[in-house]
Amino acid sequence: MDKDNFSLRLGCPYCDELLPSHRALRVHIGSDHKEKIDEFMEKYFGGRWIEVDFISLMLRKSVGELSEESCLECGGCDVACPVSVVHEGFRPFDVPLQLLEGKVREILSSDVLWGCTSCYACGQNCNAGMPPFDVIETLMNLSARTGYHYPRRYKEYDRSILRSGVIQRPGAMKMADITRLAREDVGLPKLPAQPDLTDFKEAIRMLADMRGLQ
Amino acid sequence: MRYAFYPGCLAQTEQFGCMLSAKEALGRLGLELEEMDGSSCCGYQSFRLSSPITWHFLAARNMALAEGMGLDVLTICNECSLSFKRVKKALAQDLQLKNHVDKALGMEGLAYKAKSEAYHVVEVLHDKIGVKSISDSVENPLENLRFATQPGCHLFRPKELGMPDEAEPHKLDALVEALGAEVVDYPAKLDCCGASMYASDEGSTLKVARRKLRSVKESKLDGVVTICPHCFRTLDTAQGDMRGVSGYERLKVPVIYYTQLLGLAMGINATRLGLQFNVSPVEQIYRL
Repeated sequence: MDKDNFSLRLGCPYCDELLPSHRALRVHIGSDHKEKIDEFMEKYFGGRWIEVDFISLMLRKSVGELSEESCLECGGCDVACPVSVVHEGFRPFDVPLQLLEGKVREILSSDVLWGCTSCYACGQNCNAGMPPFDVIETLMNLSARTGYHYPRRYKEYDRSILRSGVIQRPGAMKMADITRLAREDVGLPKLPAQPDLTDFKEAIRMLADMRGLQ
Repeated sequence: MRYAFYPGCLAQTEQFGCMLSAKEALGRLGLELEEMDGSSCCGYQSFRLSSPITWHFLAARNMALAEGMGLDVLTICNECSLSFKRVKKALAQDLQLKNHVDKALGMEGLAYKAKSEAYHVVEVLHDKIGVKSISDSVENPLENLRFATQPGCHLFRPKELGMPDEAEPHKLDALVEALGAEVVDYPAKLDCCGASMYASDEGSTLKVARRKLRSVKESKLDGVVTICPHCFRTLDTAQGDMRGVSGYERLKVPVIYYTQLLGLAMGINATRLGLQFNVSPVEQIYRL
């Protein structure tokens, strides 16, 4: 989003009215947009997995905490953010602001969220006490879980954990299989024993499949 | 002092210098580091994003293993340290979440009772062993060296969580000064190295890291000392890749992991500290 013009480009997505400035937007923030987010979650997941319920709970919590006073538009988070200087289109305050407008789908389908390095600098520099980081992380969860976007390398990391307990580069795992060289043979530290992978995978699968909140 | 040693994925599988030097140098200080057999990833760099409940399970399971050993955890990774702190807090506050995690742990015959603490290596070195004892262990004082330090975000942010260091981090500086070297502030000291975005946007990570290294270079320092394997990877290992992204000349800033520097000051052989695995021109530091 263009930083200088961002107040002009905000429009209410749920009514036809064009909002001339962010001041006017504040009138629209409130009850019905929060309901839109509830509706979105209900429509897509309707409490199908505990995982989604959990994410949904966190999202509702973030949205519940957001109000017209949540962002003072001081730019503190943007100044502190290490990414916004190098990544065009990443502005920490954008995410909570868009969420307030009810634009869940728009946020999820863009890959902007994934620029966050989770350094927490935005939170420490937020003058309104509403760190964008928490909202960004919850939306990353939602985006991954709903299949909107989940970067390829993270998928590899998850798979590697299921296969060996730790994150390893796929190439390194293949090499270890082929050469059968013990790490100590080449002067590397010995790894601790792997988890019992059958039980380990079973436990993770159980968490991913649990349906409904017990 | 005995601890369950949790190096984290990166130090175990990729950044061997961190792992080798930590075992070597911490052992010299009298720390007994027990291997955690059956341990797994803490989940911060992976399942935290795709399945938060599984992340809580993974971190709790490693804590449960340490509880089984009757020891506190010592980790050398900032992200693992943050992961344990966040999960511990969440499980204490959210009983429903804890029930799900307990159920999964039960399938592996484990139980999490929140008895063990997880300490970052900086906490142990600075608060428990103490700067004085570290100073006493030095055989080759690192005089005439001026370093930048990279404490790494998750050593001191978010402060609400009770992090290993204070909002204005000073512990790593004190630990480097204990070895006889000088620590100099530089403009980008508290900035993120960009590591957490490595999996999703490598190009931006390299740009963020490069800004940091430039700041060090412009301050005319002898190198960067870091204490996090993730910072170490982006600043050291990825230094060669930065040229491709920015099109500029190579920066050639020596980057060294703190326990490697500690080992050098103690007079330990460079090979035993894994210095041959550093990609940056680290020999500029120890051949002086």
